[in-house]
Amino acid sequence: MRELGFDEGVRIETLHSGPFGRDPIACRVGRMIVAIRRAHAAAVTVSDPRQA
Amino acid sequence: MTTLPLVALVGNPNAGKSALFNALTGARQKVGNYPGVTVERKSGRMFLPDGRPIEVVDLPGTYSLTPSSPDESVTRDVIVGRQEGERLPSALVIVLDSTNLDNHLRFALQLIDLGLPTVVALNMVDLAEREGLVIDLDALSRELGVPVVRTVAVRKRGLDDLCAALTGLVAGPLRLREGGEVIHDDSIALQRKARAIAAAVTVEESPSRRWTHRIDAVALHPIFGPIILAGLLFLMFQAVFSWSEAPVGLIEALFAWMQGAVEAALPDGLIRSAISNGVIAGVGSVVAFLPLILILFFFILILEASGYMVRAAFLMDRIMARVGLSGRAFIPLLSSFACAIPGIMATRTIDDPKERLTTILIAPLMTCSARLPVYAVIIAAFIPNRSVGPGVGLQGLVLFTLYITGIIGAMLAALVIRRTIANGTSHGFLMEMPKYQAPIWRDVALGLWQRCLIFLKRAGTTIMTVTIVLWALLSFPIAPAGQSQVQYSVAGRIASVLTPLVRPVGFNHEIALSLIPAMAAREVAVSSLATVYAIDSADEEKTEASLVERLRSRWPLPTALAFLAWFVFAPQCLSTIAVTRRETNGWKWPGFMLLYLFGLAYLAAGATYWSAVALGL
Repeated sequence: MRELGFDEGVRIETLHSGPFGRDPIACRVGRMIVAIRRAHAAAVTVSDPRQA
Repeated sequence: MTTLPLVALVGNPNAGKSALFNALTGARQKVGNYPGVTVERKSGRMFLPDGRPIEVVDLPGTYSLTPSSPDESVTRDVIVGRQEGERLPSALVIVLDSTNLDNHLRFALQLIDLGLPTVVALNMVDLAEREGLVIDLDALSRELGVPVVRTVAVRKRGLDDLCAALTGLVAGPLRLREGGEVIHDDSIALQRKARAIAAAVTVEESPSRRWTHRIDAVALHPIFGPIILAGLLFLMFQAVFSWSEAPVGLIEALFAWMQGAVEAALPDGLIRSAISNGVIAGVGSVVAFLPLILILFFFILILEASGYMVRAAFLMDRIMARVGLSGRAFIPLLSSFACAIPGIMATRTIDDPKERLTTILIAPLMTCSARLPVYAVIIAAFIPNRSVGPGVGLQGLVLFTLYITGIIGAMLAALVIRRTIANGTSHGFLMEMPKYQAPIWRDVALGLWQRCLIFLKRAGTTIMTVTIVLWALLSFPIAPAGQSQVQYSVAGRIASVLTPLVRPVGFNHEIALSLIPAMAAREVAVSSLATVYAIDSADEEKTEASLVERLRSRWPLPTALAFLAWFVFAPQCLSTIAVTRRETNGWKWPGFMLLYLFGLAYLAAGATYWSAVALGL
């Protein structure tokens, strides 16, 4: 996942989700859009920038 | 050729590497394979400004030097000089997507660390500018310690600068940095450094990718997304059949004319028969599929080049997950509707070996274009052309059912294979979704041209050999007067042995006979049936229309339906078996594929025959 840009301090935004069971999801990671299943996405810790 | 200095293009997927490669080398390209693995080697020749020729090789796109697929292993092995059949590159061109520096720089840092003479091509600068990114070229070059040039491969901009930079590099001494084959893979540290550099050299940012986001809002919409995908696929298959009619007719006419010319020029005898009935008829029946294959590849190349293919994989991932596969498997399976061979080759992009194996094993169940002639003849002969609803014909419905049966069969097979022989948890689905781009027509044309050459080369070698062998089997030993040549020949005798085996599923001696040459390719079944019945009957007309009538008068309906069911599953294609052997490195899996698919074909034909008989059809 790091190869696709998932790293500490990177902005992540969920853009789209799949048509069946809302899985997988497409997120913006840095400047890239990455498709990922929810099971894997669960491994990413995110914090809401608005609350920070 | 091998003494030319070698320059390797490397970079992340979607960096525009292939576009740059095409822009540099034009049509002077060679497509081959690396020995031992089935990764395509694309190379081409070009001339440096000082007139020296060099060879440029386009390496498979990869994210790092830690390979996770056969493609990526080749890239790594080539640039450290370990790839069999390839020399160490004299220089590297690292292709970066200017809009995605923080990610692409990490791999670039790894590559620069190897110590080969290197130039960085900052590609897609036009897109970066449109997104409001200004990249400080000098600062980047300073940070990386190698020359950096701006390029826009699709508009052929910056190529002169790149060539000029290469001229200086290629002259230099050729050696990896001391201990250069040791790959540094501290990805966290590299990523930090990459992001620091990207932040330092990039000025001004604004919200980006508005277009891609807008298109995706529709293309990945939970309701419209699947509808658009289904619509595109429908359009694609419609086009494959409707656009190809005229060119296929032309090719068939050309081969018929050649047959006529040969028959007029040569005296009656074995040689004339070998050329006319063997080579021309056999090769012609296969070359006639060229238009279908090219039209399908045209669509697939466009879907790939535009960035939509990954969206299709995204939409289908959940469904594929049900049978233990992922969205990645969707792309090769889609190609398999044209032909299982490119489909099986496209499985290389699947990094999970068990998922890849499963996809290879089920790919032949997708209804490929070679089945169409078989389906078309049988449906025309036995299914009445009447309407069963507004706009729905019974013949079309039967054809659709055959396609669906193949898909359902494939899904069930995948489910079973993933739970038994390719058991294991899925690696999941993780894919970069590239920006949408208008396809570069020149590159699409180039891709089609290469497919065309590969296909014709196969028709001229493998298929030609098989046809000559089959012709010989059908022509020897020569039958005494009054006896049928087909029955008396070696092939006819083999068929007599097979007949008792296929009798229980409703097949007769002629079908058994046609199934033998159809091992080469499914569509050959049609031409063999035509030959068998033509030789059997008094008149020598071999037209398709008369074959339809002959079948109608000689086969009971349950036999015809069983024949259709057989071809949904039967792995009758030597090329598929051969490509499976190559892709799986051995005879084990193609052997398994033959067994399970023939088993399914036999069961399906039997079940169809006996239910049809029981229903009194």
